[in-house]
Amino acid sequence: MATRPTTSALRARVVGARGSRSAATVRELPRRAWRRVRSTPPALAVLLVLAAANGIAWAAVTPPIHGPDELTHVAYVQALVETGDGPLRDSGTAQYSRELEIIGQGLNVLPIVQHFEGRPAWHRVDEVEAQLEREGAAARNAATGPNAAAANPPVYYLYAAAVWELTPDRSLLGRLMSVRLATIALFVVTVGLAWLVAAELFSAAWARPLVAGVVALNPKLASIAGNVNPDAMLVLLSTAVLLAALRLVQRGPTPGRVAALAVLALLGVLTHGRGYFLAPLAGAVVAIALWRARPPRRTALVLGGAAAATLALALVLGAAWTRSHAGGAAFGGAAPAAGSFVPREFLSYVWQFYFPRFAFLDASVGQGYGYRELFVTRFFGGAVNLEIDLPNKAYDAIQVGAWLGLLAVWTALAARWRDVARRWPALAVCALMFLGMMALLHLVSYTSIKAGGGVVITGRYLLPCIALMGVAIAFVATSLPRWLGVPLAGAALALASLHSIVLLGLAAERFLA
Amino acid sequence: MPSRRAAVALTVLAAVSVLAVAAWHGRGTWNHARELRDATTASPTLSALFSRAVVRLGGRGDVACLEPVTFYADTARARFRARAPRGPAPRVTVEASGGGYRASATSARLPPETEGLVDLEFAPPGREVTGRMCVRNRGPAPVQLIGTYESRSLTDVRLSVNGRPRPNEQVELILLERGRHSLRSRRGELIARAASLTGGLAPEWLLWPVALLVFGSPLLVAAAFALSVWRASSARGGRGPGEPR
Repeated sequence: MATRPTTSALRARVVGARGSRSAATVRELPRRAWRRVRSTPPALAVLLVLAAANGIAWAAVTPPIHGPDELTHVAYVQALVETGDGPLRDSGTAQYSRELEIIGQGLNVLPIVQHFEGRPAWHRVDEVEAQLEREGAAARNAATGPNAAAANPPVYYLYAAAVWELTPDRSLLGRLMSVRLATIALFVVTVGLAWLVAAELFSAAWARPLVAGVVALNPKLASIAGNVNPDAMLVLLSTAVLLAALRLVQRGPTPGRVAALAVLALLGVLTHGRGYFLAPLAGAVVAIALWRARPPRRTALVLGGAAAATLALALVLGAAWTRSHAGGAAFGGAAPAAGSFVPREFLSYVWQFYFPRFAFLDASVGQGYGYRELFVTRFFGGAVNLEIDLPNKAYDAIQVGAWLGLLAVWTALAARWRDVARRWPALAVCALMFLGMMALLHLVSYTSIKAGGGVVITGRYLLPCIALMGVAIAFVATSLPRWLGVPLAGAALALASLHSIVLLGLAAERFLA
Repeated sequence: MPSRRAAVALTVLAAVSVLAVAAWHGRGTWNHARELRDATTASPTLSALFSRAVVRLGGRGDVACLEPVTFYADTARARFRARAPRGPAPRVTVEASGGGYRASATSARLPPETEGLVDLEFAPPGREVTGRMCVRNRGPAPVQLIGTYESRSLTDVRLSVNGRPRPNEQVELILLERGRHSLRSRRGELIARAASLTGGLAPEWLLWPVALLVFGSPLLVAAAFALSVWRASSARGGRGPGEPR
């Protein structure tokens, strides 16, 4: 574990970081970048390749526009490309274009959703492509809505639209796959960031492949990355925010670090409504970093003010986009407009999500959906529209393992409390990130239930904190003597690897066999 | 500086821990891949998720046809859901035809007042053919074919009963290969199917190494992890500054 810098050292870094890079340094950048690529640790290279392979495998196995809400996301991208603006949630010309209708029906990929006996029509690809050719540009009609994804802010869709336009493969299947591949690239970068997060937190070098491996081998994330879905970008940006936040509180505030954190949080907010938690997290982290470093008042005001302005801008832009494209939706479109919020009822709902009901509490509004569904069955299973699932006994085993894991984290925290207390800012970043995300998810789900929209909280919504899962495992493993910690880490990696293989195999059986 | 022997032992422990756990828990996965199961060739029409359609073939000779239906070269079984509402137990015949191909098969007597899947084998076309699949009531009692009219489950296949079109309604039909096969024995076919829907950007030659990487990931992970442990334990020789004793 790295030694904590003193307050005066942090202050010195803040002051010393004011200078700008010289032109010569800028010219050196490509060479330095190449040196950095060449110096990639082999273990990281292996995990990056594995992440790419996992993503490509999921992209190939999952039929086009069959991923979770993938049709709405693709329609959003196509609306951006064709009209230069995102679709609308409640009005518009059509839900999706004629092209997507042809591919969805012609290849059988839309009717077979939730039909476990159904398979795509592989043999009709040529016929469908010929039909698309015949219908020509008219089939790419701008479908401006109604589109349920319209409430999402546009950052991911702009990225996808750029790929959609620039791909040399002009066929619809080619464009869809191109965007999927571009989304896989986000997943691969996320794995690299997880490695850096581990490097920031653990001095034991073997913790890095453990944390990065937990991310690279997560089948839920790989399956999302193999689809057209903004969640993959949200996971990348959340992991990047985590890394930037850890660097900020551990190495001290510099303009570059504060700017990096604020901009990443801004992008996260503008990627998905579920990224709204990143703004207050970033604000809290900047405050902690400034409080610890105690730079001159002017510097603190400039850094803090700039960060606050950036984060406020993110929230304003996000809210403005959602308002203009989705009317009264709240939380960046993640839920219906906030209304009828009853604090006592909300707290009761959150309590009963995790724990049994006390006699004095009313029955929860949570519709029987609790922590097991969220953290076990929907996080470790339920891939691709909940069509890929593990047997119940596997979920039981995972639940027991999760409890043991929590107990182990608690025990390790208690055993290393002096160590942990010395590095409280890093712990605060991790805790704030997880709690902030969960608070937002519960708030959104509660609001949705109250508005009659049902439970909107599922396993893949936890993925922005996937690196923290790896960190928790690594924390326990590195807290043990190495003769125990290393095999424990190895076992965790083996189970992650098998989990990945099993879910992918089940998906292949579901869609290809 | 701790001994090189300790570093080697820790590295071996790292690799073995990954491989042993993967091997132990991976047996089930391996066995699953070797289990024999039905091999679907096409699903021209689907079952009902919420709204069932019941198509009645009231008398001997009444026939329900689905068109267009594609028969792969190895399609040799048809599966559909049927019910005999009353006795005496009727029989049904499936008739596959198109592009010079013709095959049929007749069921055993369907148990009265029982609904179930009827699974009939017929001669495969030996090449890909697109045509029609009919189910004919051989009597002596009525037969009900079960399907759906919910729009989200309807495919592009058209249903007709005794030549009269039945729009917005379908009876369930799944086509399969003859016999049962393991996933492992069909790996080439699965890869080809996966590649077919990727617009040529993930061709078979790419998906083979991808599959090898994914299914061989325990080996790669073991190697990567062991390498990290080796570097960590041999470079500084042991404990990092924050590691417990």
